[in-house]
Amino acid sequence: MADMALALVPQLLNLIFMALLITNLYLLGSSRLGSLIWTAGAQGALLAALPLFPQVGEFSTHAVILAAGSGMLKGAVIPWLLLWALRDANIRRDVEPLVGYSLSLTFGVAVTGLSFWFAEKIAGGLHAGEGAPFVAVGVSMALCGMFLIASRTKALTQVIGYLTLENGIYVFGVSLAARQPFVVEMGIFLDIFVFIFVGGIVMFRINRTFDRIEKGRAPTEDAP
Amino acid sequence: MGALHPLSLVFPLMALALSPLLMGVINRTKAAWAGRTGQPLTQMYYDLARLWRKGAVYSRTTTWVFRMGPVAGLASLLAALALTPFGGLPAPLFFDGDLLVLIYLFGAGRFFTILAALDTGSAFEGMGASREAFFAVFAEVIFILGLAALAMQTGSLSLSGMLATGEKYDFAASAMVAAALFVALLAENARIPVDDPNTHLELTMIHEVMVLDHGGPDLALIEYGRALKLWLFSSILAQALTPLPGGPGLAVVYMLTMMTAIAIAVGVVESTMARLRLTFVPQFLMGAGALSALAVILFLR
Repeated sequence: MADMALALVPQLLNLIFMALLITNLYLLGSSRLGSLIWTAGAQGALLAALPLFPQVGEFSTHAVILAAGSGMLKGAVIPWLLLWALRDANIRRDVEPLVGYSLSLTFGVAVTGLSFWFAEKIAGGLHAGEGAPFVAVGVSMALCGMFLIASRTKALTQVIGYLTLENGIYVFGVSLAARQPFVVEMGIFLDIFVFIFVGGIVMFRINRTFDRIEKGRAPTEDAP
Repeated sequence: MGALHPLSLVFPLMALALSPLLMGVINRTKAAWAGRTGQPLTQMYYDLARLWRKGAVYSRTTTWVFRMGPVAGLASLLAALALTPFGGLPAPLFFDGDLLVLIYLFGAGRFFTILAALDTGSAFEGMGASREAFFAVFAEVIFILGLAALAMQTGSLSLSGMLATGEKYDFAASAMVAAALFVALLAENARIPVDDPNTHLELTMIHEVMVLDHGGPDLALIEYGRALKLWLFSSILAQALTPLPGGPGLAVVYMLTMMTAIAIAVGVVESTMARLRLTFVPQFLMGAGALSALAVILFLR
């Protein structure tokens, strides 16, 4: 029984990676802000399980704290904050992306393919074999997040893009956590802390005033 | 080609006999969901028999192309049936690369239906034909990438090798392929959310509008072809979903159960979802295509 359970662990890890990549593509292909936030939350909750896997490192109190902390923040607190901002900003869809949704999806698939290729190249130096999927998924999520920031016009979607970028870095970092636990943890929690302040509060105000941030155009030009 | 198992020849005959039942399952599911009893499971047999006894009426603007459409469409599906394995046994006909032949056979069937629709010279049918061709572009990508992922997983280039003997098995990737193939099934069989099989308003129809001018035996052939196509897609999906249990008897029972479950799932999707706006259909299909592409990427490494 215990052997069978142990054999299921790599399958489960694969499943989590797959789910992460799917949420990633969903973020690129959907325009509804509400479901974007839920998806980003689901992504955060999935990520939180990663430190508990034996592929990452020994099972320890450290790992449990890391998992519980990031699960709380990425899976519950941040989505709740974003949903609150969404209600307040009174917008439901990102209707004017700079790059269309189908094209974004194509980009997402292409980037995922590239990052798997890239991971094969560099993973050998990081972690013997085990780290390759972590690097691939992490890089692909980070790139998709950057793409979201650059290609969407609503502030909320851009914050979700930033969150995805962060999540990608987290996946990348978690594969190194066994060696550099303190640095990784500090990085994760500080970044999130900054994000909450900048993202939550600033966006809350800005959305109320201008209804959206548009890059490349000053807000005053919006006035009739 | 290896030795032919006698049962491999029985399975296509079974498909020919049972495929209208699958439509019945979908209709019963939809009826149950709406709180009705619904038509009997065997309703489609009666419909086909009724249509077959009728005479056909042909418009003067149509040519032999129009009369050939239904026959050629069904013929290509029958050829596809000969390539599709069932119940853990190889298909009557298999060779390396037959998955491409299968895809082209579906394409050929669609091509003849489209030609027949254009041959009527009706503006509505032309519109339906254009939409069918447009959405097929996306549906084919999903299907071909899904099959490519299966081929990579099993290391076999023939459908029988891919589906009948699933040895290497990765749960996560198989789930992705199955989800993508399910969307391909919905799109290829003109089901909600891509097309609505019940609508009879020309502006919103896709597949239905193309066959508006067919009547009698021609319509029977088309309807029967639809049932057969649904059977083929759901049997491929059932085999891609999980490895089959050993032994032909058990495998057949298992597959028939899975196919019924797939038909029920189609019915539930139709009862709970609305048809997508036409402009969103490509986006929806692209999403499923991205899933298959992701599965391919995962097997590439």
